[in-house]
Amino acid sequence: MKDNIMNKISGRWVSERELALEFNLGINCEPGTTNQSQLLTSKVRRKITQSRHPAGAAVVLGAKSVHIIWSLESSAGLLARDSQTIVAESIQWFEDLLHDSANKDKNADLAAKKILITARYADSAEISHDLEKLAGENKISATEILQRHLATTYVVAFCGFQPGFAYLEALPGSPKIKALRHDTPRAKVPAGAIALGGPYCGIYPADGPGGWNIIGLTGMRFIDPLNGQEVWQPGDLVQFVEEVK
Amino acid sequence: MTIEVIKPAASMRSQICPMDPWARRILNLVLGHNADILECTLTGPILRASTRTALAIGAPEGALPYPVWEPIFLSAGEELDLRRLGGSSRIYLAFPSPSYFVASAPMRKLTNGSPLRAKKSGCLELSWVADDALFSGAAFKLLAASDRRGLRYAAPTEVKGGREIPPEPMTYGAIQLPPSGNPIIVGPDGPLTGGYRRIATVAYTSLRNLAWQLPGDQVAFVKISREAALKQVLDLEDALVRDLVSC
Repeated sequence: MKDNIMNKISGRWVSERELALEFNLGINCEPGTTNQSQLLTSKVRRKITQSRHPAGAAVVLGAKSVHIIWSLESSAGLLARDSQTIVAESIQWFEDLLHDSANKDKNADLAAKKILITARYADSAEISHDLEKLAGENKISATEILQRHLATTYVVAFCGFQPGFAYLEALPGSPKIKALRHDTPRAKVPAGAIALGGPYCGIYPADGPGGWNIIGLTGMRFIDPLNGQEVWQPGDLVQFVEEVK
Repeated sequence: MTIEVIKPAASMRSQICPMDPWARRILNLVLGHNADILECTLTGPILRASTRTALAIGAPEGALPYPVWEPIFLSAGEELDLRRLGGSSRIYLAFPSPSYFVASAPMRKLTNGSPLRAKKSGCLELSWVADDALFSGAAFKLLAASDRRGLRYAAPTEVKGGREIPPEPMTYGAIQLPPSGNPIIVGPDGPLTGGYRRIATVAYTSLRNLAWQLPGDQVAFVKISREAALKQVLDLEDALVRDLVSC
């Protein structure tokens, strides 16, 4: 397992204090596909987001990379050391983390939550949706698009974009929906809009521009007001339910 | 209140993460306390002191007819006209805590010639580029559709647009290439992950200069080494300790 991983992780600096560790077995980004990486199981993703880099740097998870971002205060320490050594140590740290997940923590319970999200899927004054666009691209009816979405159990792959946002991946075996992003993003998507983009589903946490395909609207928010933490972690399951009037 | 706003700025907001990463710390050291500062964009306010007071302004060197990065003492009734920002798109304002005149908190000023007293320039340094050919010294123009989420630049020549990628982490200063071919610099309120290819990163010390760029301004992107970028950070951090002296 370990040797196997070694060849697949590469490290490159993308700024003076930010190192990108990239792994080439990441999820497939083809529209509508749901393949999970061999390396990035939900358990590993969760472990990464809960990890601290030994140097105290922040660890941020992307779809096919982990970025390690050193603080401003670490600048002197970074300059004093050989950059390739830091890269090698960081790859080693990441390999150990993957190795532990594959072995030591193999049987640990993920303790995934299941989050039910109630939502409205009809056009309203607040949203104009893209169900017809998706219906055209998938050569099925708008109703069938919604049925597929509601029949899908999603898993939190990783957080990002904005605070309170999670990239939701359809569990393997779910019905497929192809969702090409808009060429020109909408100038304003309302907070709570449920949207599909590439292989992901997501909920816009705040008003702002967005290029994903809007299908519905929820009043739920995903940051706990008591502690400012996101309510979900990688591995948690999400199911959408149509709000009954 | 000891300071009244006679005419408001186009935008004046308290920012925990100002676009100039050093502005908050410098101005707090100047006024001897720790508070959020106000980021004014495009125009500043007209202010009037209702009692004797002090404030401090952060701006590029030479842009304003007032001293910057040091306390400005105002007598009762005195006005400060900050409507014109002298070619900078942003300035910063900080006010002393109400206890200042009671407790006489120490005030400091930034010495003349300190590297923290920077001028606005037409050059943005990059601490990393994916492809040297993308930035061969040509001028990029800042577009009006720019804010703290992202600064959009028009490419000087036709640049082949980037395709979408699996979302990857983004930080303030990352330069993305969307399909349009016009690069976007991620701002402090920008996305935490992005689905466009990252083609470069602005050196951290150049983010100050980025904060001052106006729509229509042209900049040249210049690659420096990672080590040089780290040295520049350390120079400014040293200056923060060394160049703020009692006044």
